Amino acid sequence: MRSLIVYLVCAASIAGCSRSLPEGDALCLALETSPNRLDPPFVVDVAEGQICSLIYQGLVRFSPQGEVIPDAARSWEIQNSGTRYVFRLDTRARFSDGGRLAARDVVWSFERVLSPASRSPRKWVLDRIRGAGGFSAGSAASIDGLAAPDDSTVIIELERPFRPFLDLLAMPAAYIVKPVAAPGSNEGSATDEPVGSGRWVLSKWERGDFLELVPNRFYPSGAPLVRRVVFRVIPEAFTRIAEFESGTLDVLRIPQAELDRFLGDPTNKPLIQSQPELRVTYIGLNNRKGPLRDPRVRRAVNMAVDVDRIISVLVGGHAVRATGSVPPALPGHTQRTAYPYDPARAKRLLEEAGYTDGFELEIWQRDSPEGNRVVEAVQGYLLEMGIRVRIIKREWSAFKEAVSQGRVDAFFLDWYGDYPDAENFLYPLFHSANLGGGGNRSFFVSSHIDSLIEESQRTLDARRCYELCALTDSLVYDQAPWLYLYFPTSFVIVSERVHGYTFPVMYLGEDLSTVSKNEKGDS
Amino acid sequence: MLTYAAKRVLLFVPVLLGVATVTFFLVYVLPGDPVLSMVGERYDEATIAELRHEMRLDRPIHVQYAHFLAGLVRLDFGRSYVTGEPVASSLLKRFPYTLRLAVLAMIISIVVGVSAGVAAAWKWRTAVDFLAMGTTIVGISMPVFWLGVLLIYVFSMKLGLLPPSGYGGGAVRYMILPAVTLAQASTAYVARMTRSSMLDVIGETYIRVARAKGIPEWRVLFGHALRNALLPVITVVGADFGSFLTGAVLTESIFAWPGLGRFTLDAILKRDIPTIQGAVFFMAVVFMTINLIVDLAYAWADPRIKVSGEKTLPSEG
Repeated sequence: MRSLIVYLVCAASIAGCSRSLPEGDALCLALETSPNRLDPPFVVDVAEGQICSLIYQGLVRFSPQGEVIPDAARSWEIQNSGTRYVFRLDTRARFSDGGRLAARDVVWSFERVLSPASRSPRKWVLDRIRGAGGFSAGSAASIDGLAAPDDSTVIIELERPFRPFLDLLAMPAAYIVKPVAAPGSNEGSATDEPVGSGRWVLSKWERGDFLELVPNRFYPSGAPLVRRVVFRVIPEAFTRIAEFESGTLDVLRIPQAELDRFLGDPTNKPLIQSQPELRVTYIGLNNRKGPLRDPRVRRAVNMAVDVDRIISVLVGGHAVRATGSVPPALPGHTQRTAYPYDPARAKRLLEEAGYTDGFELEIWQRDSPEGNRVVEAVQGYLLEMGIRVRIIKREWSAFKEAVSQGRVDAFFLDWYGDYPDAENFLYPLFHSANLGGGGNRSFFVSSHIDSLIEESQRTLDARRCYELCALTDSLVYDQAPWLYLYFPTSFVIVSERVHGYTFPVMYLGEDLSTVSKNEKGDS
Repeated sequence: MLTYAAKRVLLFVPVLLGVATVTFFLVYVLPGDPVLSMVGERYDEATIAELRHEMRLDRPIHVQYAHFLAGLVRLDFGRSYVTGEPVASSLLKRFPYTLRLAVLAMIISIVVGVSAGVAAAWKWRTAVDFLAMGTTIVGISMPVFWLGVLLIYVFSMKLGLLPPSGYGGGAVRYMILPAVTLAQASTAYVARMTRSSMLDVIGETYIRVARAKGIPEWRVLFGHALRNALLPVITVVGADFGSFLTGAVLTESIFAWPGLGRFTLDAILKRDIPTIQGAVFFMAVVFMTINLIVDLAYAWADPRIKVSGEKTLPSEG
């Protein structure tokens, strides 16, 4: 036994002594989940996207305010009524190994996403390029609408005009990767040691523990103000708070349950930033199933629940009531008259629809503090109408499968914008091409709405386009495919040692180049 | 002894085959689709079908099982669906983190638990005994999650003595809070087990003889009584060590410790089938090895027990 203990102690000491967590002058940020792959075609979650936005460049990127700004491309022109994009690359752009970023690398990276062998779940980001479909299906050897006539020019032609196309190009799937193998091959791809041309380079990655980034010394414009950024993987909200309050974390996204405590402390005031999120929270009603097929029933559900009270009591007032799906931060949002909280009218609507005695309803949700509170409140309100709600909790994988297949009556969910445009809400959530996994999980189908959404997609005139978006959103709202809830507001608190951090509209929007950290007070 | 150990190792084979089979079918019947976990939002059915084909999920279950067994024979669990890394190397990367924490937790559990148990038995029915046993009741009853949060609150946020979480490159100060949290219930249990076992032994004639011979009390306690009282304690410590190495999910989550427990939980949540199968298999091997070591340790603790193929052991742990 003695020798066993000695052996185990030795083994354990050896096992752990080779790694070290960077401390001191580094900017320390937290990730809630551990990134799985840092390879652009396979980026599917926030943590992966956030890291990739720092180590890769797109042709364009998002500013902290959500505008599209130059990245590897220093300028662009939109020609032929919005079907032809000509990008002029920044000739100084360099990969982190010193190699020049040339136009053919852009073509290579896009082909890699779209190639039949790639298995990228993000092909939709680039599939509007002319010839992308044929290339993806393997019937064409190259993409017609993608060309690199010289080292610093990329020409992209679309099948038809698509107004938010530049937004798509700022998404991780469109990031430029240093070519390392034949297009479409996953072998040798940037899984562990990505080579991008972004402002930062991944210098250490201990999976499940932390990632460390250092400045890309080949990046053409000004070096970042901090020498290192450390992203620590901390899954528990309480632990992140403890790290922040102990001074070992520089930026904390404040959990909703803790907002009152943080906001109530006057010393925190100058340190807190808020941002209306590009996110809508709703209870999807399956428009193809049971009593919910009847729009009168769905409207009754919206009138039976006091959403304002849910927002003020359960969400602490830190949200805007949703009277549509387009968040307030985006053009195309309109604050229209909400369904009133009117149980008597709701009851009459149910009677008209033939549900005098109510009905049984299953609401599915993932286990989350917010979901638990809100869905239970909704359950209480609906019971007053005779609608007997059974709450079904499943973890994400099982939830997503059942909801996407349309097997559930109703579900509590939210939709995060992939890019800051109304189109990114209306098209995936309500167009009939996206039923189920595409985003339209309430199985809402209307050919009129489909054509309005398509028209707004190809309308280049911004004013006209956003009018169309607002109109579409109103018409959908009237059909009540969801129980509309709210647009949450998020808060971060930034350590007083840190300056220049902007809480971005899009999580991809902060490149940390102007963030500085005082040496004094470092741990 | 060697023959016995070899026979036990041979027995690993059918047990592991059983574990692997049960895991395979359990994962198969779980609701939730591994492909959906990989693709994020706005996926298209064609990509889903391609991925399902690539991952062989579109084959009949008996074909999948045969493929799984063929991999198992070569100890090849394939690559993670989620990270694309070989499962075996991911497991070996994560295991040292868990091992470090488990070793420290076991040391705490043995040192504190046995000392408290001996003290309680020695000062039977005195304030020391009541205090020790009262504390152990609290220790056994306290949920891991709550204790972890409490320790972070007191020692990190209020007193600023220890870091709240993380691996910290292996620095001991990062290990203390998670190890104490992990060891808490086991320590309490070891203390209670040591006390009752010591009380049994202290009543034996040979202890009275030892005392009558004038042997100093500490030698009676530690040299004569404790060694004989340790047998059941070894069983407890062995089983706990096995569970430290395989199931420290809560502790690892609270303290952002990048160990095997969290790794496996993530795999389960994402339906990363090769990783789940690899992790469960690996844990089964670890658990069985620990059990074997515990059984062999009986012989050290009590020379009356002969470890051989013919005789039945007092316990299989």
